[in-house]
Amino acid sequence: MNDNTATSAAPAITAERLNQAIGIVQRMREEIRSAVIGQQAVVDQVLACCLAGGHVLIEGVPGLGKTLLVKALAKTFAGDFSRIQFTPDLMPADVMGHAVYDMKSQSFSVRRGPVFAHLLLADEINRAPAKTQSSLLEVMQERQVTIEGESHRLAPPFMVLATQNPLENEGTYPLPEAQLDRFLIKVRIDYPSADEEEQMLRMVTRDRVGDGLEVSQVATLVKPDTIVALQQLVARIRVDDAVAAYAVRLVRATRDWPGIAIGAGPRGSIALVRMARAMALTSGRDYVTPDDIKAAALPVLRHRIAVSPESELDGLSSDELLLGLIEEVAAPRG
Amino acid sequence: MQIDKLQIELRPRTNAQALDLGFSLLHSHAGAAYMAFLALWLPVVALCAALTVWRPDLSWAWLILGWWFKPLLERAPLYVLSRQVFGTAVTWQEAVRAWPGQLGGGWFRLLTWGRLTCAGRGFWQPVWQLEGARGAVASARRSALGKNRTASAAVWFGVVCAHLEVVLQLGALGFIGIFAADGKIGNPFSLFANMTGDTPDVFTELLTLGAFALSVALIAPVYTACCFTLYLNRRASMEAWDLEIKLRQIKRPQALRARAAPLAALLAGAGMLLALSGIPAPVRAAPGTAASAPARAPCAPPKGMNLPERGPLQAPEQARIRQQLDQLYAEPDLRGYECVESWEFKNRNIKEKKKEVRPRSSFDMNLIASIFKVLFIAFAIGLVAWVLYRYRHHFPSFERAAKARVATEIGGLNIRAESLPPDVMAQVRALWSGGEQRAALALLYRATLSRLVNEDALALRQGNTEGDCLRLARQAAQRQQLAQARLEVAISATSLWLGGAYAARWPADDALLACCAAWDAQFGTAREATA
Repeated sequence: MNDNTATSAAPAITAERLNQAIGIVQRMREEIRSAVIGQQAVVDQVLACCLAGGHVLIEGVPGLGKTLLVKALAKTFAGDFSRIQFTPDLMPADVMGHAVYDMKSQSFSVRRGPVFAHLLLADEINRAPAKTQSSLLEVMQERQVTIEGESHRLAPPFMVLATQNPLENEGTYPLPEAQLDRFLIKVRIDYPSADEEEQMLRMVTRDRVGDGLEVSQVATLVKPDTIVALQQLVARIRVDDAVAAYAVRLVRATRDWPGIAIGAGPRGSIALVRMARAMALTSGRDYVTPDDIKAAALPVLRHRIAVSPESELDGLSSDELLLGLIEEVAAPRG
Repeated sequence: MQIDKLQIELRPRTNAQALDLGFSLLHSHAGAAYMAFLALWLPVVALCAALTVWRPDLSWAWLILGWWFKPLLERAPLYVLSRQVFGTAVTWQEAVRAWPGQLGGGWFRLLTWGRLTCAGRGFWQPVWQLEGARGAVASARRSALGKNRTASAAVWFGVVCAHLEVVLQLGALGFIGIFAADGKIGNPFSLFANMTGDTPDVFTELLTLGAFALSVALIAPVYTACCFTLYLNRRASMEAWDLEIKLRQIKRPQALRARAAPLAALLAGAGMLLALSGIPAPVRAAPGTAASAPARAPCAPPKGMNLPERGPLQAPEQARIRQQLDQLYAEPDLRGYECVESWEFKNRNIKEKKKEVRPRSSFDMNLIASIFKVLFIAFAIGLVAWVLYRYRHHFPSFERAAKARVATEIGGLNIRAESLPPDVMAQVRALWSGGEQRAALALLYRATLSRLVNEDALALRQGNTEGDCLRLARQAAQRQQLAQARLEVAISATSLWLGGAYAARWPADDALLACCAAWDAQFGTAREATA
């Protein structure tokens, strides 16, 4: 049909550059998979989110490899990685940094917090109070930190990978819908299959002390600049008008769908196309197909909708409602 | 049934008094009655507990299962009480041994539609169990016994007992919840409330079952005993058991009667002499005097009552005898009708009068039961139909029927076979050579989908993308429902279509022509020619 007007202005991606990017992405994926046993869909989604320049919220019970996944991703490129364990007494200054008075120089110097990194793991983000969560979410949106009135830009690429445990409710501060919207995708990690668990068991118990999985074998492949270049490449992936219309149709359907109290906003459509572009690249294509949109719909939309109380009483989850919606919304045929 | 051995005092009782008598009866024989019930109830509870452990998510179903069979278990305490009340001592072991033989009559009704509608079943149980009535006889018997508001009293008592069970159950759960729940939680029932839809906790489900079993064990024998005394009271008044007992007491054994005969004759003779000697009859009050009629004034006989015809007086003595007889028959017990006083409005209009004189329609429980019976049967049929529909994929015939329904449009593309040109590939080649590349690829892809749906019964939906269609085709090929060669052509056509439609990347002529040739071999004219 027609080329997307936004992409038609950008220079076309050459085959050589595309193949190079695909090769890098494939190798990054293989390296991550060498450390994270199973969870292939989760690995692909997190990698795609990284390429799309978004942030990811990972939900899963303890012990499924959330931290390992983030560490493995950080190890694939030579960027800074930091981890914050969110607790109820964590203060915004503990995350952002603060100014310290230096007696020798008789002046204030800025001590940068752990947020100054390329990859930030916010472990159990819902354990911190709203004040600390808000400060982090502001950084995620603006990609800059203000300390004592002075703004500090974060070096790209900057990606937050937040985790939360769905089981415990006591002493937690659930993220409001508006703040959840800052995350490009929300990924649910499920238990591994029996074969994968056996493989993990063999790997952990062979000549190892302790029970942790390591990322020492993960090779560092690229520099942070390469990730930025890949993100720019992803932004130029072709999106046909019909495919973009399909994304909008899906998002708009969430607003009228039975069982969904609050549907996704326009940011949902934007996130859907961004994520679909990255997934197209991970699939080795320089154009987005309806399948990319469909594959991205669940992780992109599941935290942007609110299930109605009636559906909750019926035991329906946001995933079940979205899957029904995705199956019913007509896919484009060019 | 030896009513002269009845252990309860017979006198006219209201329904409430009759129900109250049940408590006294149960109090006298509580050990045997409760043990007989518990001996049957506890195994049922144990079975429900085992099922709960097995499938805690269906704990509500196991609870209903125990509740459903409760009417049959109530026959054991009824067996005990029905014999104890007539002076026959029965142990709970005997009652349990006799229980299987007591199940006949009414069991089907009680386990089907009557389970939900027959709250007064305790009143009907003696008809089936003690009288042995079945079918129409039992129905007529129940109708006769249920008059005089007795049936409705039994129904309301059943409703009260059901509420008592619920109250006891909630009380037990609340009591447990107060001690077991977290101190911060104010609601003691939060321990048992599973609002999140998560897998239920077996322990809490067992506690719920235990509370239910306890409440039933306490209330069920009470319900049985009270309904049984209600039944006894109704029969006693219907069949005049008090009179029969008096008559039986008068009727002495033969020897005693022989010895008493001379005395009786003597007493009778003395009585006759006294009567004939002109001893005045007992003074009876003149009607209308305040002193002699303190309670009520005599009333007129009801309309339609057949009074004996009086002939003319043949002799003057007859007038005195007639007067004495009239005074005798003026007694309330002998005059054949009863005077009842009631309040009524002074100025009632005719409509209200009509309403008043309308014969009181006995609340026809049978009609209600019939309605519920029809509803129950309709519900059962609907349930079976739903189950068949829900699990239709497990039935081969339904599977074939589902496959027979093929889609005619997918994502706005008309994929009916008749919508395609006779020679599809000729048309594709013509469009391609004419420079209409997109139209050529669209026709190629549409024709492929059409063949897959119409010839290979591939079940596609509106929301299926190109990738979904291919995935379904691969699954069909794995099930040997689609030839591998046809799958390869579909993959090739989809690939060409995706590149053209979403990336404006048109294939080389050779690639398209090769795909057209393969398509023709698998789906088109070439295949038809070789076939």
